[in-house]
Amino acid sequence: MPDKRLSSHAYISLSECDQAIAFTFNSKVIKARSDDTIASALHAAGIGILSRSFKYHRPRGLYDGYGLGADLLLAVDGTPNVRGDKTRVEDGMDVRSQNAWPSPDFDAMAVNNTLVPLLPNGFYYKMFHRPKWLWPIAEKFIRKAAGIGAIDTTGETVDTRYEKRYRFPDICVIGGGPAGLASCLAACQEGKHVLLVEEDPQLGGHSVHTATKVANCQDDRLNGLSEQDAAGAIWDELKTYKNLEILTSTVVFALYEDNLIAAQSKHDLYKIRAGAVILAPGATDRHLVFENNDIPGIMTGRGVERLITMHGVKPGTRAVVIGNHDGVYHTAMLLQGAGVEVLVVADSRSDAATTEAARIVNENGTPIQPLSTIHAAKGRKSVNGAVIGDIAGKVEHASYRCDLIVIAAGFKPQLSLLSMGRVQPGWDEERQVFRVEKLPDGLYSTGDVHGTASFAQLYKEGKAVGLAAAQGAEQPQSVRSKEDIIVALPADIPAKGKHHFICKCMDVTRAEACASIAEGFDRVETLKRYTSMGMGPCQGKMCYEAVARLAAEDTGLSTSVAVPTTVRPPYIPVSFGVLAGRSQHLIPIRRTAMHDMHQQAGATFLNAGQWKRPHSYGDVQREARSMREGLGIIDVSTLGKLGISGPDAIDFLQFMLPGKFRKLATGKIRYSAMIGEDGILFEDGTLAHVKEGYYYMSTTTGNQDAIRSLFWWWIVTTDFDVKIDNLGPIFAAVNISGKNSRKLLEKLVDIDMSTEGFPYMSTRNATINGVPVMLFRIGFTGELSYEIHFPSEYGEAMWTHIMAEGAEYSIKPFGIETQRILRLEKGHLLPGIDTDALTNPYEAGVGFTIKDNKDDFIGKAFLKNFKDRGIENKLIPYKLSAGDAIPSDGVAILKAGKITGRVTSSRMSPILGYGIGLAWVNVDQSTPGTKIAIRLAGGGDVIGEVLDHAAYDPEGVLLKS
Amino acid sequence: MILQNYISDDQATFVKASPLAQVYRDHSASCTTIAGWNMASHYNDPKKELSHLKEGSLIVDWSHIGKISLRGETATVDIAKIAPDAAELAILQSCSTETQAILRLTTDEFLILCMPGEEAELMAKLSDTGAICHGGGMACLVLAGKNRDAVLERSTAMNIRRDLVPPGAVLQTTVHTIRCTLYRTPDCDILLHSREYSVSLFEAFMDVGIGVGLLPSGLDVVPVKLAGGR
Repeated sequence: MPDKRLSSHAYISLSECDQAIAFTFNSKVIKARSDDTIASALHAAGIGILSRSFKYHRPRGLYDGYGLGADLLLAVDGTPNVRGDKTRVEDGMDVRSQNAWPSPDFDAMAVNNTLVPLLPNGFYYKMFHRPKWLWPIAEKFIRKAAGIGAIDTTGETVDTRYEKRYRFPDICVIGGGPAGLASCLAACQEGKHVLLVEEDPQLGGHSVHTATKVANCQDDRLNGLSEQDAAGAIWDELKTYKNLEILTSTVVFALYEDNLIAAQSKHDLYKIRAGAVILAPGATDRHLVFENNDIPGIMTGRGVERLITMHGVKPGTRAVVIGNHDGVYHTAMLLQGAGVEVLVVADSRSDAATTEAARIVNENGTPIQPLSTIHAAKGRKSVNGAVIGDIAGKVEHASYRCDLIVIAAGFKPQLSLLSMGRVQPGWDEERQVFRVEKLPDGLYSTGDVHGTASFAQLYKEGKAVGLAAAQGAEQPQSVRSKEDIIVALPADIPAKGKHHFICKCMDVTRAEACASIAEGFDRVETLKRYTSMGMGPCQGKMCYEAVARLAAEDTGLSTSVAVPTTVRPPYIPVSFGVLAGRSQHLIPIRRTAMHDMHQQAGATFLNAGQWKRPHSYGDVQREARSMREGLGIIDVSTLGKLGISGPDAIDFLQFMLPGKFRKLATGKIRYSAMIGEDGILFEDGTLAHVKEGYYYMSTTTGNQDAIRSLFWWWIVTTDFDVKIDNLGPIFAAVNISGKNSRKLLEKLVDIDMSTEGFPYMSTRNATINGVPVMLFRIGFTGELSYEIHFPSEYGEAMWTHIMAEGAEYSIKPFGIETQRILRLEKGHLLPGIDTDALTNPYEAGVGFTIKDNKDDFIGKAFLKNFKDRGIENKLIPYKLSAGDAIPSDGVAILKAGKITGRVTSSRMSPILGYGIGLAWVNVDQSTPGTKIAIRLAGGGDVIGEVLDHAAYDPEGVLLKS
Repeated sequence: MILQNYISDDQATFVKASPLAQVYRDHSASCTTIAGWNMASHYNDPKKELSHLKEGSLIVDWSHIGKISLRGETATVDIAKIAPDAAELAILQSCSTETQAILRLTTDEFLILCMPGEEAELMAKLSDTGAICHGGGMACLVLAGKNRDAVLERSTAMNIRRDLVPPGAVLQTTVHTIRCTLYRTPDCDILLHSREYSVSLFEAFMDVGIGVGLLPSGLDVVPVKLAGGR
């Protein structure tokens, strides 16, 4: 391999970097410098073909070195589509090429290139559809062949830590070139908190590879310095401001409404909300279209300058330099200084340049070819020649044998962030560029994005814009002198040949674009969609200007009315990992105060919303039997708990709930359904009158937030003078159930626990070991049971204490699944499981909770309609015969082969020895004793018998004992 | 008397457990009893924790501090019973001493923070106001240390710039999607939140904080100080 590292340069001092590192490219070890990008290191190592194009698999190599194109998308350490020309090499990095097999140098899929005539634009709309069976086969092949990078869906090769971070500057400056730096300076001097975001590791923009001296700058200390040194001087000054933060190697990939900026810094996503945004993204070399303009060995002017000055790499050995502005001589001079033989400078202008660089190039004996430009590149896998001719593409002047063609055809503003779906750029005839002149309030722009200019002019305008942004003033006008203007070459040099690539990402040639226009796609947006120009990985950053100008030209319009296609985020390829961030934070877990006790007891957990609730502690059937036969305890801390008080508390409850509560005495509890404004049953719970005028309401776990919000909404929108306290987190709660529950409570508290002293559906205060508790004699299990509510900080101690005291009664914890069996034995419905968004409370069997003879209450009007309509369906309890299979929840109920209902809950009852459940059926099937056919999930039916009462303890004797 | 009763638990022999009790056990934290609470005093390397306080960041559990909320139309009048000037506070501002802080959350809601065990005395002063003592219902995690902003900026989408959110300021925000009241003091960011989320919040902080040197620590290293002023 040729050694392309430069040890010295004739005209500039090369950056020194002694740190040698090594990485692998397609398993081959490559030596590099620590200041190398992957692309510069590979170029230095003599590797010219780094990837293959999307469709035709044409060879691709280093082009602009600025991360714009798809040429250098590589897989790095398992992450696909990493920009090789913007990514610094790291020791041990594993880099692999994409879209080529077996290697970029010899790619089997390059056969596509010879099939070009068979693959016109939109070929998938036109081909392989006859006969019909062909398309599925073709589609499979096309899908396999399409795409560039491949994600490792196994996650085995990528162990990346992604972070989300936030910033809130007063002013965010995007782009650290001369104008951006000057803006920062002005804003910092105004005392604003400024965030500067720069894509490269260093600040200075194009100045860092420019040897030109600064002249006529308003800041006199910068005059006479090289642009690189001048940028360094501004940077040094900026470092003294504590109100400035600089993020380098960070690329802004989106700018949304209200100045929300998304930026990526390696694996971190920054979300930046700025008071004002100054966009100074600069400009990059124009993408010139000509025959074979995509061959490796063709590079942009700034691309070779970056290679030489920033990485000390010699771009080639024999170069042809194409240009139309004075900067082309600067590029040629740097090439000569690096030992590259510059065969010719083809300058499309008629007048010779008078710059110092032009003088040096001339003195070095390089011929200058005026009124000339490139007609064609020669070569297959790399450039081996160039044809120079007139600008009209008619007359060839000369051919050269070379390995490098440098295109310095002027600059196109980087408009992506300025446009991004908000503003349509327009062609500025005077400045010969597409430009966004007016931005929405809060957005400012400065620098080369308004057309290239001298360092002094950029500095001046940057300062003015920084000041305006700091003061909230209007965007200052940018000014360009005649000397600043670079007259644009034709977007396509119309010389012979059919490989004039407009869009290198998607392999779209001028001929294909013209063919598509002829097919009727004669608007730039439809042309884009049909040809996919600008829809590749670069998203038009490289080709937008050429696409717009040629689309206009080929549809008979002038460039002055040309418009680029709409630009949308993201500006660069962004990995899903960066967008997703660290996922565990998105779903916080709610744990009860006794969570760890359950874990220690071997509980398995189920998710109830965000809550983790014990599903069971082993054998569910044994748990259910154990509770019925002795004593059980369940953690019910997740229940919603609301304290309702205030002068209008009872009026409010009368309005919110369908029942009557005025006569609910202190110390008493009542069950209540909860009805929506539409009359639908959506929740149930209990209401306890715990002290005079203070009500304590418990709701289900799942609906507590909704209930609380509903209550607060009504308080805000009505005149009720009510206070709602969310007591959910404050109190932990357990339910102690079973025939021995009273005996246990008698050990724990010193109040009268007899049936007379503490009857069913009543509440008492007590203390357990000095801890104040509230006791509620209610139950969902059908057994004698008590809920104990107590301060949650005592959760662990209380649970441990109760378990210890209950040991003599063989107390066992039980989980939600067991509770579901127990409540089903009692025929209790569960809102959300046995009901849905259409559940009529009368049909659900909770009509007894509705007192429609009271004043207005929520849902009253609809309830009347329901009542008038009568019962059409009904939620019924049923039982199966012993030995019958247990149906799954949700299976159908049939009558004469037609579906007439569905099972909502179905379980095996260990205490009864047969299956039980709740089901919705037509009213004609709801009569007790009716046999219903229940379809099993695996096929076949079981016959259930409709019950008129709970399967277990129908009279509620145990409950009230 | 359901709400006021339970703070009068002088007779209680049970230990009050922090929501992070299991975290203490998992990390073998050294614990101490303060006002009936079993709290972490350090995580077995107080010297290292102290050095992180100076150069890195620490996460500390202050769930044992007193937390009383006062809400309603008369809140501005009632708050005067414990701090005459508090009614003049702007929303999301605070007034404080070393042992007590009053945070104004809305026009008619205050949150009073006090040293552990002192809430009973305050509740007695507020006995006829409907004040709620949150006790163990509200947990309190504290980020301390020089580098704590690096943890916070990865944890919340709220603007926490120090020039805009100075010591004494209060934010109602979400941290790792969990609703929190953030109270900033010169040395700490105090995050009050519903207790059931506490372990989740701790784990999320440790997850993002591990890359920027976050360590769990205890009250020996970061004792409770509630003063929010500079």
